[in-house]
Amino acid sequence: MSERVVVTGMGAVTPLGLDFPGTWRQLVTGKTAAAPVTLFDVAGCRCQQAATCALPDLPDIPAKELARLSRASRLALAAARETLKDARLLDSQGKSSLPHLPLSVSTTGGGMALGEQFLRSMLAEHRGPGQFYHASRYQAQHQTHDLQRILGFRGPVTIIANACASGANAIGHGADLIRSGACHGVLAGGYEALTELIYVGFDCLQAMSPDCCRPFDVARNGLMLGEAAAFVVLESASHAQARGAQILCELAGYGHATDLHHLTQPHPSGATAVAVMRQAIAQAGVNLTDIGYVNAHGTGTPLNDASEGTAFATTFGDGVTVPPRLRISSTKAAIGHTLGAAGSVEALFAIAALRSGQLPPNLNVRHPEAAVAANLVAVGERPSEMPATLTVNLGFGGSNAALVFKKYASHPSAAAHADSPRPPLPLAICGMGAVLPSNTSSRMKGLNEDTGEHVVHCVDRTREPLATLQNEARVRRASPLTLYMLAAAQQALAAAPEAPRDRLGIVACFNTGALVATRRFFEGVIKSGQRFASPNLFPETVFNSPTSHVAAVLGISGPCYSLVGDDAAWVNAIHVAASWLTNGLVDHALVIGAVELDPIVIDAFVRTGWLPPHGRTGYVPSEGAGALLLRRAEPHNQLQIAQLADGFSYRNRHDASESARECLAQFPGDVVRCLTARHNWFRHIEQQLPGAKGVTLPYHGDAFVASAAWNTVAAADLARREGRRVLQPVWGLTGECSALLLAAE
Amino acid sequence: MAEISVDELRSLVVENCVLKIKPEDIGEATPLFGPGSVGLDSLDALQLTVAIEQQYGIVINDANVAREAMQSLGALRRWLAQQPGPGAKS
Repeated sequence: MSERVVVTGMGAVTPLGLDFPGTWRQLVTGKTAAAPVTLFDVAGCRCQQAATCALPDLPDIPAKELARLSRASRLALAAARETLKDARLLDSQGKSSLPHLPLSVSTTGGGMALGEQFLRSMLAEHRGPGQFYHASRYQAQHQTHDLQRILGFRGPVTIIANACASGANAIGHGADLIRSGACHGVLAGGYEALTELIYVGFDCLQAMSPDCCRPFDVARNGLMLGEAAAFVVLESASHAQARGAQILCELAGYGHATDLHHLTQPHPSGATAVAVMRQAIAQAGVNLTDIGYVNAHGTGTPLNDASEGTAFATTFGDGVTVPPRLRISSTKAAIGHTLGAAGSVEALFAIAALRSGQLPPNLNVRHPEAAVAANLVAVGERPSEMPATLTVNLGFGGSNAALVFKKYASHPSAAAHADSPRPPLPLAICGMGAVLPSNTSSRMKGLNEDTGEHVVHCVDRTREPLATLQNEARVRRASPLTLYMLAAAQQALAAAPEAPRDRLGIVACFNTGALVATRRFFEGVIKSGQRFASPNLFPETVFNSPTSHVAAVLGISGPCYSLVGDDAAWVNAIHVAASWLTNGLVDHALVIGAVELDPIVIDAFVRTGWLPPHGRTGYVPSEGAGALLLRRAEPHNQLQIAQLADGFSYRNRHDASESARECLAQFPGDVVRCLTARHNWFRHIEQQLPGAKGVTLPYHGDAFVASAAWNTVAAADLARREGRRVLQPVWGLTGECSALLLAAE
Repeated sequence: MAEISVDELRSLVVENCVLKIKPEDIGEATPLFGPGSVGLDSLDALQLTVAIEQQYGIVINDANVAREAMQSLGALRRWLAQQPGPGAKS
């Protein structure tokens, strides 16, 4: 039996309120936040409404700093602070009283509004100010840095971008980390700030209702977008009890898997939704009849609600209808579909339903879908006593997830494993793959004339196996990095063809994701107008689309995560794989890091100073992918990842140096150290660190997580050849550093 | 509106739907959707709706009309020829 996970604090900013209690009061009385969009111009869109948040004031943050915070950061900060306060983990200075607090976060857009402004300014003849800021601050890791810096804590950060299921994944992953023994407490949740790119994308898919979002109504005609941020503090029961924390409930079950049917459509049977609900219920150890309320995904689109209704009928009923005692509601007609935050904010609703004796209603239904006709919650409905609630989220790319919350009852075994978690390491490396750029460099121009032309290393997609993979029907619209991921994954899997696909998971990591599709989509919007946005391109801009394509082509229906971050996201991805393998979720995990080049990258690198406009620094942007096939180590496994370590995130050279020292100090001294820093602060730092004499690995240009993956493949080869332990530092360019130890035993 | 050639529509479909086949490989009567077809899906149908509006100014608001019009290149050519011209709605 592994450690029980409990919720000890929660907080949210939603379109219905600036905190969770305010939101809940409005929600249960049947209020909706639907309103015309004023955040950006939507004159060219088919739809005009959404549910947006009032921006939290954050009066204790200096005005200058507040002005620099993205909308996404402001939403996330207010919700995270409320959560820490609710958990009695906020000191009188407004800082976290836990200096080390791992963060498991989800988003789909990050600070995309800044990215949109950067693209606009690069396409404009007369560029506006703020280009460095826009280019350097839109990525999701900058919002998590803001959380850590302003709320005063450090620790490993996992950013999950699994589209609409991400928020449930972030909370479920937080629980996985605790169950695997990696930590005793996590701040977990999601945030999403509405942006033009996302709004226009859903508009061009004609997925939004032009009039009214009606989840589970037979006449439903689309979703309403929203924005929100919501967090929970998760702790091991023993940790919570030891510090005398209030325990709101137990996070008892988590299920997640991938629907391979189509990139944007669920399988009509809802089979994957059924599978994830059953996984979560089984892990929670509850009976079906224990669950009294389900917070449904219920987007209000014709396909989602039909498939989901069938899934509820299969899971809880006779396959046709659901027993009336189970109460179900989608809360998306009230607060909108908040994408990367949806799974988190809806988890809070499921927790509040469990605790408060009130239920959030399913609004705007006149003629309900037959499968759930007896189950939809009406305004003012009071539930009977319920031991457990469930929330389910079904996302783009087939990302499905479910969480089960149950009332907490103190149990003598709560502390049984507090001091003896199973070690998540070592992991055996069963297979490796790498897609490298061509040996001959080429030149790439930015979008803006002033950017000029710069040396890059590009992957030659006319060579095999990429040339053949491009003919796969599933990937015809995909951004190039999907091909790199596929080819690297196939190489890694070739070493263990017997690995069963249903017991295999994928953890992919990206810096900017499918940048070619994203840039092309929004460039089309800017040049041709919102009305002519491309429905074929928009789904490919979503972070987890490449991962979903890889899963579909390789027939992998197990869990899939798409992580975002800087180079250190590669080590995070291995951490995730370790937790899955330790918890027995999968037998094998495919870890993939991938990057693709696009002209907008050249513009961004020039504006951020990494590529000087008229000079050479030796920094060469590059692209490609690397992959590892991992499993839990057994005595006969020769090649292993023996140890992982993370330094704290940094914002300046001094902290970077301290972080690097702290990270490397966690490893033994008698190892071969790889020198991997090239053209950043760490080049000098690395040479000044103790044991500086090391082995320089082959250089294929700078491709962030892909470079980290290539270096792991090279370091593992070195360990195998030399029969020694090899230390690979991973120096993140935007604020994280980590390292891993490879061993050939 | 004026007659549009099948070759022009072939290019429109291949380019917009990012097909990895030569335009000339799509026959005039080859189904665009469903079994034995070119292999387009619902996203392609939306994409072609946008492309037709952008290229020819003909707005398709009705999914049933779109389904009928986009059965094949020949069907699309005939349907476009029957439309009154830019700005009309179907």
